[in-house]
Amino acid sequence: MKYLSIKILYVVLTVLLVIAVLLSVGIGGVKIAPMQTIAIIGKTMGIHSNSSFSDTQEAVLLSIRLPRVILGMLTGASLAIAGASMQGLFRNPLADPGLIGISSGASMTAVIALVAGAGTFAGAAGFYLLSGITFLGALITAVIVYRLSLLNGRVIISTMLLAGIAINALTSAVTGVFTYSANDAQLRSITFWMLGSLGGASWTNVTGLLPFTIIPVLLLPRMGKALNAFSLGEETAVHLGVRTERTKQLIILLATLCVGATVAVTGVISFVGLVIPHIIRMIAGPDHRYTLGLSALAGATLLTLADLISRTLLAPAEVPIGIITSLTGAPFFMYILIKEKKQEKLV
Amino acid sequence: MVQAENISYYIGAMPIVDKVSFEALQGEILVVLGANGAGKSTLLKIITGQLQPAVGKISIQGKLLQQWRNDERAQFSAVLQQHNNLSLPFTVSEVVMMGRYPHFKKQPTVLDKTIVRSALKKAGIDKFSDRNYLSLSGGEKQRVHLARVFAQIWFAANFETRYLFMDEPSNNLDIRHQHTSLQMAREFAAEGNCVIAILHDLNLALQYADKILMLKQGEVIGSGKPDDILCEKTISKMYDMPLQICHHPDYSHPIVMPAIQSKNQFINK
Repeated sequence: MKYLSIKILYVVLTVLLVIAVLLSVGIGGVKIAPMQTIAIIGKTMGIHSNSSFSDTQEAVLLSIRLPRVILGMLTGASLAIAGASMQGLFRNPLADPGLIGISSGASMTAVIALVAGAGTFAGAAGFYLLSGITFLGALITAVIVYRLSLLNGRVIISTMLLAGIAINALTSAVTGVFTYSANDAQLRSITFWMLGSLGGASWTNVTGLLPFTIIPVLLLPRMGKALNAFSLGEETAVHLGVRTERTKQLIILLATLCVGATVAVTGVISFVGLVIPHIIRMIAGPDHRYTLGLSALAGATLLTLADLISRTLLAPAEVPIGIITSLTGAPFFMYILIKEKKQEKLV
Repeated sequence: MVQAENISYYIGAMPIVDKVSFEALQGEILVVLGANGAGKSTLLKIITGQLQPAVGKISIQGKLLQQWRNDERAQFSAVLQQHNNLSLPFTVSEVVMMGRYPHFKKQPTVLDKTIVRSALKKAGIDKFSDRNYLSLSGGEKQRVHLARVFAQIWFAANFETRYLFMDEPSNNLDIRHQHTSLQMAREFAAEGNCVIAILHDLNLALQYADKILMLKQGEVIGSGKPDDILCEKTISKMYDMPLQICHHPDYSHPIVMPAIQSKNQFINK
């Protein structure tokens, strides 16, 4: 079993991310060539270049495309790293924030907050308030799922997935109740939450989201060694000097922080946290010291591309990105199930 | 030195470990014997800090167990557990390297890598150090964990005496590797370290133990040097089964065998 060198992988994924970003900001109603993009960004930093571009291109790039692409990157990185670290903590490869109900817990609290506290969530302060509420929703669901699926210190996979089904059913019922009592404008926001979309991107929510996602993305890879020890079982991790309670709390806190905050902006985008870490483990091996960072990088790339597809597939109409990720992620999930089943047979 | 003073542990009102005291010294292998459900594993979990006793004190290296910081203790004390369930495809040497985790922050040092190589060799698994752990047989997996715990306490920069706790180290192993694993423990103890092991095989115990602790229903029914405490009455009582002690002309250690003629006689009784 030979895996690709981690350094090469970091370089390749970074290059892919840059290409994805240049493609995504350039394609749409107004076309912007990669060199023009670089020139426009250069101009904002006071660097002048020979490439020429129109004022429309500049306006579209800076106020529409760029915040949206950055939102996509932050969301992709957050969901992927949250998935990868949850899978390490739960010690099984199926722990996806969407699948086990964490995202829907967050979106339910967002919907409740929106309908009940109509109009209080405008501007930056409103954004922080909403993010805080969805983070709490994510945290509470994560703790409930973890407690429910724990038996003698081990997470029972089937219980975890069933707990996810129960929570998803409960949250969609509660969301349904609030949908009934919502007015037209609220209804549109709710639909947006249910399907997942980067359509709400603006500099306000991108800058607001930044700390919630950057901190977990920087801190979680530091937990890699502890998560490796965790893979031997919680008891063994204790004997290897890991402070397991603190590790568990920190990982759940950081993972739900970034999931909760992104859900506040984008709604539920499923399967990113399942598919990306799985692919990374296949090409880079299981070592959490590397898979977490690599997953964040790959998640950012994949979601940037998925958003490009969601904008251009039925242009000028937009397919919600959550539909794109589910359309590709669900079959991949089935593939993982078949693979796991076969492995069990071999062992 | 590991010192246990009057420790008891209950599930509900039932004592699982009942007023157990012992001392395990440097250079010694202390073997814990007892029938299934005698409280051996619970006792080991208590002295490794995994379970809190209802009553009693445990000290290791002259300091109460709970006063040691977890990451500090992991540098000089390792635990080989009965069940290990790793489900990620780490390579054998990566798993053994996890034993060095308490000793380095981010990346292993040259010393850590050398130790991992030596531990792999000693456990006889250096030939498949690059293989996927999940592809190994039960016995091979057990030897990987053996190498991992030995790597953990191979060398500790700040502690001279090191401690090894083993729950059924001969689990899943063939007769040759049962002896290799206990010979490794023997050599480790001879360097001035301390080993506490749970064993099921009485003959292995008699061959390697410096001291024996016999448990029955959580209580100590005998403890001391094998020669001093070994009598047919006690060991038969321990397992609720007639056992006989024999002596081989060429070997100094006694051999224990069931004192029954055939399978039929045992069933009729």
